[in-house]
Amino acid sequence: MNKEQRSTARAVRIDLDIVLKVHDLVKTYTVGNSTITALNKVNLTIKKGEFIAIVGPSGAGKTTLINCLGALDFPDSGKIIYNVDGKGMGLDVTQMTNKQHKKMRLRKIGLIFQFYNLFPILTAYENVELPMVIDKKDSKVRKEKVKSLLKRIGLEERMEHLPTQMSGGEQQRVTIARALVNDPLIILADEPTGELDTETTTNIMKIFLDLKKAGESILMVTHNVRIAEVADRIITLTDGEFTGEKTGGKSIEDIYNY
Amino acid sequence: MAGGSWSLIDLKTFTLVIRTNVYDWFAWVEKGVSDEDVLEEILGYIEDRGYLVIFGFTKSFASSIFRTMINLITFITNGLLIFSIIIAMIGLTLHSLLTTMARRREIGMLRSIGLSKKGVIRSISGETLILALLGVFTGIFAGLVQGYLMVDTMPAGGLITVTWTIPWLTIGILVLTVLITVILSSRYPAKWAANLNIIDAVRTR
Repeated sequence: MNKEQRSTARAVRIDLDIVLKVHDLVKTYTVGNSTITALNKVNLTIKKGEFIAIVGPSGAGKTTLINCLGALDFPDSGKIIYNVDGKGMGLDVTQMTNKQHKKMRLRKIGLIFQFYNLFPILTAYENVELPMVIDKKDSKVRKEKVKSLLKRIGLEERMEHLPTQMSGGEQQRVTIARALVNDPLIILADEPTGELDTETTTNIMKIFLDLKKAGESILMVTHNVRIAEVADRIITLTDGEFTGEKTGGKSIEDIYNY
Repeated sequence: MAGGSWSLIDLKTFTLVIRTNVYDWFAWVEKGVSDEDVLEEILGYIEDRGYLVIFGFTKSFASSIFRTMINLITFITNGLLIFSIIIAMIGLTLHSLLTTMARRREIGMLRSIGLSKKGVIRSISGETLILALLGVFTGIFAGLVQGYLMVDTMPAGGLITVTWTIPWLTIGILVLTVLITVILSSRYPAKWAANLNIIDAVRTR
């Protein structure tokens, strides 16, 4: 959907317990003379406090899905409706203007990337604080929020450290804190453990489970079928289509046979 | 007698002696010097060389020549200033574009966490503005100091009297010109950065 086709999104009613509803999402890419269908009529509903994992091989369309849901990319057709106020007012991301997309990314969506995407010249504290600075939040509020989040993810002692002075797992924890800082509706994590070893992966998944317990909604895409089993639902994406769904809910201990 | 730097008539009343390649003498005769002394010097020269060419002019005529020369130098300097502003504008655009391109990933990261296009434009233009204003104020300070030193070293009671003043109007025009230059030169890099595809930018290695 191009810029000309988009206008200010009109509000629609959505069930109170639903955070995100995806309807018939289609995304294609044109490479030379051929057209590649990255997402083909994808439908998905995520409820509040639900942890969903989407698994699939490389090129299945996982990252494209996250990019569309994260208001980073525009689908060709379909709807992505967020319960923006948490009270049933749904807004379709595909109909939003650039300004509304910016607001969505800033306030409603917490993005976590595989390669952390932290600013190397900023400390852990400053990296977490950044979205609040962009959102022009009061400095006192920022300080309290950032400190409490860093404490929550166990990095209180490392808040003055630069990303280069931290391990991959610690950097990913900072990214998680940054994603949470503006109290988003949902956390979208794109291969959050792709660069991490087993032990660190376990720690990151424990944080996700803690977040879920605290009521956060999480959508994680991963090629690691094993760790996906901690999620409430595991959806398989193959060649841009959902080809299977099963219930997860396993504990980390079950997965790694501790 | 001819050649070398020497004083005419009396050191106390002598003001300026310039020996040039065109004239054997270039002398400024102060009011109050006796005709006899001048005549003695002239006769001495005629005895040595056999002739004397005299080109005489008044103080106001001499000072008008000096003023014309100074005005000409100022005109050339202003021309160079305009030229340097054009060069600086190209330099600023290139600098801004290169630094922006080098930070493609950071811009993508900022956009992904909610920075608006306007925010990107503002940050890039702001950075260029700070850089330019730093240069302007350093240049103004250096220019004022140099001007003061030049005026200070000029001999008092010469052909023209120069006093040191701060040219506020020129400074104002200069700052305004720089502001316009910055806006124009940072426009393209800032717009380029604002319109970057977020996903491509974040993936930059």
